[in-house]
Amino acid sequence: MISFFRVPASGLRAQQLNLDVIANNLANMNTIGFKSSRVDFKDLLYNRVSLVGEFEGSNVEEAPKSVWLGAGVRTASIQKLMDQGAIYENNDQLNMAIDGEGFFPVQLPDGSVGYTRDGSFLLDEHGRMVTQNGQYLLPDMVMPPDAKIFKVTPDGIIYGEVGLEHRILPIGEVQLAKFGNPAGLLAIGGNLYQATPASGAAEVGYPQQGGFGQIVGGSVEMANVNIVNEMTNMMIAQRAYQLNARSLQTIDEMLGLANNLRR
Amino acid sequence: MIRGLYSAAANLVAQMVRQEVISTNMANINTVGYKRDVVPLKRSVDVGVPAEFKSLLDGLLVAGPSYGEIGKVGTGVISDPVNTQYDQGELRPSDRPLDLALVGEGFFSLMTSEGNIVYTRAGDFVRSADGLLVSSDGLPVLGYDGQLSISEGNFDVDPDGSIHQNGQLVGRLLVVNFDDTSKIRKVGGNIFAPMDKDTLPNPVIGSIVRQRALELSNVSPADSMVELTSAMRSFEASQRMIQLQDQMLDRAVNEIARL
Repeated sequence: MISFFRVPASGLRAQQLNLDVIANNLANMNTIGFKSSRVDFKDLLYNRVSLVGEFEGSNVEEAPKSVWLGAGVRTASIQKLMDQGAIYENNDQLNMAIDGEGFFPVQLPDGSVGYTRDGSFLLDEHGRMVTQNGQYLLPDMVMPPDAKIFKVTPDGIIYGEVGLEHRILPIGEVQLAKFGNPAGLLAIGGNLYQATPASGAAEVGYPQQGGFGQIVGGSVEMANVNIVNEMTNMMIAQRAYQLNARSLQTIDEMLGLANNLRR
Repeated sequence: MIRGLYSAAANLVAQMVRQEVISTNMANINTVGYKRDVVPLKRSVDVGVPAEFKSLLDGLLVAGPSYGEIGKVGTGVISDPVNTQYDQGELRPSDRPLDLALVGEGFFSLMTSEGNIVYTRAGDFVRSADGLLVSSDGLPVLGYDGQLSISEGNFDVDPDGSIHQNGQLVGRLLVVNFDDTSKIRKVGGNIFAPMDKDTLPNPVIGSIVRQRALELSNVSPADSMVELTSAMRSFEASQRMIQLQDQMLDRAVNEIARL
């Protein structure tokens, strides 16, 4: 009897999660380098049920004649949609956007390497390029004290204006990382991702080579959240939630009727 | 009269099953590539009235015409096997090149970890870390020449299922169908599997693979609500019938013989 309740309950849980993910996407609409997520659902296993009037000793050959009842729905995955976000030019020469598949590798506090699409870099007190959260860009990029960034070329070479003569000199070269399955990266918050067995190990290389994408200097990548899609999905999720709630309520009423067969 | 109780009770069971199938459909209304189930209900076997009753009537009607039989009485309702409805679900456009939808009949083919081939309508594929095209549960998608390897970057899928990348043919998706879809069943995880080893699929001609689209479930919320209400009311009616017959039995047992 309890299994009757489990089916709509699984639907409610699934749609709740769907709404959570949509809400998170909408909340991060203005987060630089944010990638929206999507929930994929799958149906649950099916149980064979014998019914009133079904021949008792029905064997496997007669299995098609019996009723297969589903057990509801489950979440298969929440995957990051890694499509390109719009590139917004803000003329801050420390900022970079990636046009393509790569990620900036950054040093995490625990010594491991994190990956980000958020190229709104700053300089720390030693002149090192760091993310907004203070993680170093890898490999280390140190500005000479008398230099300031002049521009970043699409192939990732950072040119600086050095000294009193304002000579334009290359200061460093940005490296990018890419993954076999970027959707399998683990989002750890703060616009950072970590490699997982599902994503595969990072392949490190230079912009404009071998599919890493190119660097757009003086710009940042906006979130790839599509408000219209998210709002539509939210309405669908809400209605689906209501349907499941209605189905739960109906089962409850039916079982109530069964309980009141004999008054 | 006791038989009437069982007829009504049979409907209670049948409507419960129907309700469970409807709620499974509703739970999967957002499941990509899900196909809805329906439970056809049918009239159960008719039985003749008992011989004792017939002879009793015969005795009462000596003068009248000879009644060979006074008729049949139904014994309620039973459910037929659950039918999966394979009609096309709506397409939802997406921005992922790995999202594929089938328009028309057929299934994508997947390989399970045991090496069996199973089938799905859910085209929310991903590229695994080692470059294989896999389902969102990680089962490799099969082409005509086995598993499909896709390198990074964009690729195009033609309507006939051919995958091109950088101007080169990578492979062609194996899209198949079954002559008799009642020989396959859902096993969960958006997967359909043949019920026996002799059920073999045929390649599909005429179906179209659409890239950057997903096939939604073919569950209609309005139809489901109507079905749900109908199941509920039918259940209620049978419940009332049982109560009514219970009251009649009460009269028969406790009041008829009272003088």
